[in-house]
Amino acid sequence: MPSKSHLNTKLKVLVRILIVAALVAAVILSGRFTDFLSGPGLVFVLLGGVALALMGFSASEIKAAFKHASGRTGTYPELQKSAYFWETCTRNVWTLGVLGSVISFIIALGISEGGILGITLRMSKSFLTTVYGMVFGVVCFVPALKLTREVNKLQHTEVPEAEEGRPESIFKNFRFDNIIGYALFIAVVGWVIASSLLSKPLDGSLSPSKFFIHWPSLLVVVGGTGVIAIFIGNVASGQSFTLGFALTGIIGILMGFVQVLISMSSRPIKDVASAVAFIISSCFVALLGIMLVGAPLEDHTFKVRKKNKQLTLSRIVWFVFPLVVFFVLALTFVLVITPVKK
Amino acid sequence: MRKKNSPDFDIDELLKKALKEDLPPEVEIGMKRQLHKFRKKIERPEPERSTRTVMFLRQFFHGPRWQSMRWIFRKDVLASTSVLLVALGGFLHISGSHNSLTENISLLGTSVLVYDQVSHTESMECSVEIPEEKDTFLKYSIQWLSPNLTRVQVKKSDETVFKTMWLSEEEIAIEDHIKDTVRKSKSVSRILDLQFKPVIELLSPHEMVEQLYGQWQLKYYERRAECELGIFIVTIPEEKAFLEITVDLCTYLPVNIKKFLLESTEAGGESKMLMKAEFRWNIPLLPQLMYPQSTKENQCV
Repeated sequence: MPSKSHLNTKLKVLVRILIVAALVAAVILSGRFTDFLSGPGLVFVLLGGVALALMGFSASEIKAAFKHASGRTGTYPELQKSAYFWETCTRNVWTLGVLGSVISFIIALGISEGGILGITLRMSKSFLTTVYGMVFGVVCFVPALKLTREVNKLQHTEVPEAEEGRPESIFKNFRFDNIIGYALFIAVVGWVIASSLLSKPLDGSLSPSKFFIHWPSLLVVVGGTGVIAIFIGNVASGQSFTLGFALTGIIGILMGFVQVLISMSSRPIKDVASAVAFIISSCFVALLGIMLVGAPLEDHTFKVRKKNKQLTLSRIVWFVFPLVVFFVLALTFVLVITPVKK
Repeated sequence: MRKKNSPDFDIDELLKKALKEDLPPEVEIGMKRQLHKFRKKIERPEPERSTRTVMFLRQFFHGPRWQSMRWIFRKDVLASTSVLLVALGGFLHISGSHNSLTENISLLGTSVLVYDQVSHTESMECSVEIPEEKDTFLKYSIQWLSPNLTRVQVKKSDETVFKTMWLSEEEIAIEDHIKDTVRKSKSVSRILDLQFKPVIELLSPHEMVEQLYGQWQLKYYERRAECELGIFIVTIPEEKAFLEITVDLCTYLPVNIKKFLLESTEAGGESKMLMKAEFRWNIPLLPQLMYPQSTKENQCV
């Protein structure tokens, strides 16, 4: 039978949830924030977040992380893993938010409904997904911070187990849950693209691949990542891929912007458009690469090797690169809707 | 080695005896069997599902079939392939490889430029032809002067003017040259004849850009470099029609607009033209032309 204090704690949590739900409902019902509502964006960030969590962690690890976040104590390795889980959740929803914005931005350009006004409105609404990503990121960051503090406290009292012998292979940790995560992620991305494109009139025989696959940027980002990953080495750890995708993404963005600046003064609009498409597609491929390859591999590496310090560079990439993409997207939006006559 | 007279020896003996008595022989045999199984398991543990997968993959990768393909994963081969991919991507980009995203960005960019340029014009002259039965046309001559003065003449195929409309911020006047009357009103909708309805979107540049901004759906853009012209297609879903707008790429102002019936194109037939308009922009127009000069009897509505 549950004790009285346990019931009290549950009641407190329930009251808190109810207060937050009432606040959210009041905000929505006030009608002032209808502009901030985007169903597909919300579903993308939430379901995508679940998928990405499953890609890097098993169901039991996720369950344990939730328990630890709600106040259950644990050993040093358990808490360390849970703290890392919440940190990855923050990373995942934030990156997903920006990736969702990139996808919505591309879709906004693909649907011609409503003339210039319609396209512009849809493009500006695509940034909502980033807001959702940021909000959920903050929500996930709270338990991450709380558990990290506990881990730091335990570090002084409990001595972590020393690693012995040859390190375990990270691929040994891949489980069925991770495959479900990948499948779910692909399904979520596919659903968002399909639902947005199929519900609106399209330009001729339009298929999503015609919009999302831009061969020049795809080849440059994937090839560039390959080169960087090979030269950095330790490919299985995932960090090389994270760095590779981010760096080639930035190179793609810079290449595109230089071309935009050159073309703006003397070349036809199609050249500017080609450069803008290159920028957007580079961002898309780089973010997708980090999400699908770099981040899950790094999560598995962390679980096996438990070296937090090695993640510093990756952390910078995880949180700074999506921010760069967000600003690039905003700049692209301004570029597209600002008339610049040759 | 413990001595027989030590207290520990006595305790050990006592424990042994007690346990021997407590443990029936069949339980002892069972325990020994379990212990044997446990030892075997420790010596050669049952591999987990994931470990089995890893082992299978390991065996596969060490097998002869894989060995012959291993060169693909050599670092130098991978690095060269990656460099090749980058080079190919760069080459495709430089050579002007486009996808639908590029097309749509250029369509939007051109539309925004046209919107901006048309919004900033000083004057406009537009000749419109609307086909009627048997090779006859209803013709319109629209003149617009900034800030918002419009004169529209409706002509027959033989160029005889039978109606003129003057439109300003203050009032609208329509002169019927056949009946010899002039009607005036403050409200456009009250006296606007059906005859003016086909050109209502072309009465002023502002009307036109409003349609381009919020109503017409952008579909396609093509640049004809040889004549410095751009052609873009927009659709009007309510009218089941589409417009072909030809734009001068030096000024980004429309040169002509042709309106076609959408259904005829979808059926694979030749597009039925509904309207053709030709434009001249920023030309000097006499302001006195933009007000009714008639001394005939006025009829206020």
